[in-house]
Amino acid sequence: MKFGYSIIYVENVVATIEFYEKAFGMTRKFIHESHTYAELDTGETTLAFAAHEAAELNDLSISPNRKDGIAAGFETCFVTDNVQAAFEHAVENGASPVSKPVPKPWGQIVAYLRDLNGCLVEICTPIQG
Amino acid sequence: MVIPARYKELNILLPERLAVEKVWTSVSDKVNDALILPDGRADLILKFMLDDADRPYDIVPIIAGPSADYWFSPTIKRRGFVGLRFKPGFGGHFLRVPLASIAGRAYSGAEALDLAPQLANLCQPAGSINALIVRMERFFDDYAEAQISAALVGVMNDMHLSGGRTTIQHLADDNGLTVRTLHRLFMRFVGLSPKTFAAILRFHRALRLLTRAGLSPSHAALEAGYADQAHMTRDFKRHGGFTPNSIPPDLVMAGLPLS
Repeated sequence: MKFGYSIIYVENVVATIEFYEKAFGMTRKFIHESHTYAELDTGETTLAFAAHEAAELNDLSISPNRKDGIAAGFETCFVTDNVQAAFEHAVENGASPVSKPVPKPWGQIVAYLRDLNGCLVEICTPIQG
Repeated sequence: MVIPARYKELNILLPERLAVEKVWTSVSDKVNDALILPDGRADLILKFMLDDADRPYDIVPIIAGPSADYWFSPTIKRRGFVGLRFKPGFGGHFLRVPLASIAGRAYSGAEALDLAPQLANLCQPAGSINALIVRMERFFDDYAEAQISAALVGVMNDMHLSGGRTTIQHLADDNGLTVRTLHRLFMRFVGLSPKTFAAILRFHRALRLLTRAGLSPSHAALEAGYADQAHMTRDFKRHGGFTPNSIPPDLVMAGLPLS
């Protein structure tokens, strides 16, 4: 078994893909014609979004993410050499700042934002081996 | 409300007709007592008999209020129904009846016409079941679109998404309402309390977990949000009249989509 996907249930799949393209410079792999599922081109492990209706179809019970509520207990983390620039770009494109870039004792620079659905997103520098 | 025996939900999706969740039909081919599970919605139903050429006659209107209780509907051969299931929160406006006042009850024939005299126009003999469906749909074109509180729609979606698990306090907080206002909105528009409505959704999801997802009763109780298996069993007896270990094999469940 291997880790294949993280799938986040959202209210509007297309708007979420467009947001991740604009705010975080991601590119879409595909959007299903039903607009209930889409994937970002994130390499071997896929970050995907599915519509709330898809959760219901699969008999799942979920607590929907909300921009104005408490964030759920998970985050998506993007890695870049220039956290400050990526953070500013994301905020200019609609992400809500949570914690601006700060250096950690172990050498990483780390910032936190929330996406259009209220999900936590971290931007950080690569861990120096 | 679902009347089994060849129950069929039709895929008539008319976005402008926001108030109607599903159009359904059911024609019985035998004499039996059909178990009807509560779904928290109100239905407008036309009951009829079919003649040899499948033409409906003896058409009787039925208004079924939102209910938390199951009941048995006696059916006979060649008896049919077409129904409009209203989205929760919308039925009262279209029926012009406060739903809380008809909760848990069904009104048939003259009783239904007392409540909503305009339904008399629906009861002329029809050339086919389809003609009857079209007649019902046209009937509602004469009505202005229902308006309900946007906050209530938000609460309703969150309730469905969590399968009735989100607490009422949490639903109220997330949608900018007090618990008291939320309760009042539910009684006014849905006709049932939010607690009862959530219990119905939890019951339906537990049923699906047991019948479709293949969970054991103990796992289904945990995932559906019951305190324990005994709690789930009590709710099954109340809303379905059966226990999780004796689910009727021919049970028909309504699809309850997001609003």
